Amino acid sequence: MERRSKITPILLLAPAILIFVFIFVAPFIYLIFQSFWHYETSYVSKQVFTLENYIKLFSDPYYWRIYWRTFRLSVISTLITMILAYPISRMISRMPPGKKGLVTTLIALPMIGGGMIQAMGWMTMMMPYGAINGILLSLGIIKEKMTFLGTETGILIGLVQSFIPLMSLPLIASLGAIDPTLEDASKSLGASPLRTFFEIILPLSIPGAVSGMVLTFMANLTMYVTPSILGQGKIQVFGSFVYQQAISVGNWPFSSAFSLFFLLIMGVTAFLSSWITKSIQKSIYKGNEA
Amino acid sequence: MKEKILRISFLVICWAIILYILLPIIVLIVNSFNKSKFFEFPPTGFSLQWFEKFLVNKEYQASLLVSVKIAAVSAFSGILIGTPAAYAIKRYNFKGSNLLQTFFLSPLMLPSVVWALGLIQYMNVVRIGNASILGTFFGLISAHTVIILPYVIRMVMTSLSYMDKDLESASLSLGANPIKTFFGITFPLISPGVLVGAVFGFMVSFTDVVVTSFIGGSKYITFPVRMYSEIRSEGLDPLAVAVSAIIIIILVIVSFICEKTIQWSRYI
Repeated sequence: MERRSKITPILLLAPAILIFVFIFVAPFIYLIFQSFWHYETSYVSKQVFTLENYIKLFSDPYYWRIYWRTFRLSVISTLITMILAYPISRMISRMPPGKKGLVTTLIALPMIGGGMIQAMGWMTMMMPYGAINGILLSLGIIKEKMTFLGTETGILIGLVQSFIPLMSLPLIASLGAIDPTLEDASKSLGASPLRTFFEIILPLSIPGAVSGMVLTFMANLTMYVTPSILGQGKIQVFGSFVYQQAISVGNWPFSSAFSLFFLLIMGVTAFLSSWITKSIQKSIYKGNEA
Repeated sequence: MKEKILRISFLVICWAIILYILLPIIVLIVNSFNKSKFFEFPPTGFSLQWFEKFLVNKEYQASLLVSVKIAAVSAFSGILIGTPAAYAIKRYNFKGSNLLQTFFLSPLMLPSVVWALGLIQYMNVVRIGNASILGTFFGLISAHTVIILPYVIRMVMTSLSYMDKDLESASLSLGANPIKTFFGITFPLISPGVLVGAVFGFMVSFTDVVVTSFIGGSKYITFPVRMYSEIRSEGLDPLAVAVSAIIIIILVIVSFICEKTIQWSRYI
């Protein structure tokens, strides 16, 4: 379609660009400035240049432990999410269109319902007399009540469940795009189902798996509702600490520095992980050709 | 035979995982009918008392109304701003359209906690007239619109790529002007995508806790934010569970209607 007017697209894009610049970009820029200002008292900072917030961040290992805990929980959660999301994505990707849509909607429900509702559901189950302990005790799997609320295990159970949809949706798309005749060919040539999976399906699904893992990992790093509800305030992670510093304490300069440095780590991690997976994928293809 | 056993055990594992995904929702709904208020398992008896209590609880009703208002206005402004933007990116080949697309989708990748932290400080100093926009309806709507826009833009772009572009060319070459072509041909064909954007946007805004708890202030306490602060200060109230059960039932029904009528999973 030939369109000569240059004004039209600008007019169509203007409202979106304006609101993004003023509401999305500007706060990040303001955050950078704030991180170099001096904290006077709650919600008030003095606009003089200082490095004190960053010095505080680097000098106290307490903050590093929060980063590390967040990072560690996110890695574990992302890996478990991957392991659980893969088989269901594979199953859904081979369903006929109508059924596929319905089951996709079913597994997307945690995402649609939002983190708060999921956390509430888990909270009722994780109470000392709740469903998890009740079922495990009656089945004889455990002898004494277990504690889930306020533990990392409890948080992980909730996080994995909430983030399976995020991992699954790109995976379903990329698994569904694999030509089924490839599998048939592999099978008719005598390859076992396992061999077909490892040499055909898995390599071809890597792009979807990677984008799902990056999305899930990022979401895990900034988790906030789930850890503060299921962690009962006992387990401090990045998101809950920022909320505490910014809303309860009101130390905006320090919480800004704390967040910006984390953002930097996130960016580096995302870049490295996508680079590593790309090279792994390349080596798999080369191995197959040889 | 061996392959059959393998396939059946695979299916069993898959449905067990799906049950795990849906567990909190199922349990929440079951618990809302529980007679006692301690969420013990197995439930002690059936009761509708928490729903009855909701009918007379003004605080929860007010919060729900705030949530609905914010979500409705934000979803509407989301499609109003997002649809033309998606159309421009998809239909006009200009330099940097890919970059612009990444820019519009970037809120999905960047941590909303960090953005919310910037937003509370920024809104605190941005003034309209004499008052800062922090904690105002305008402030909340503009933030929620930005939360929704990436979804709307992605969904409308998807529906534009499903649509046959030649129909637009035909309309233009037959003498219809671009505006008439858009409203007569393009919009009716992409309207499922726009509708999904609106519904999904409404849900995203309705369930948001992170951004709203930062910038909502004390005047606009949405339902999820009220839940969040109540649970943290007073623990879990069965009444809150009942109201959440109603919300999730509505969300589930709407989701399946959207799937049955316009196959919305294509856009998500």
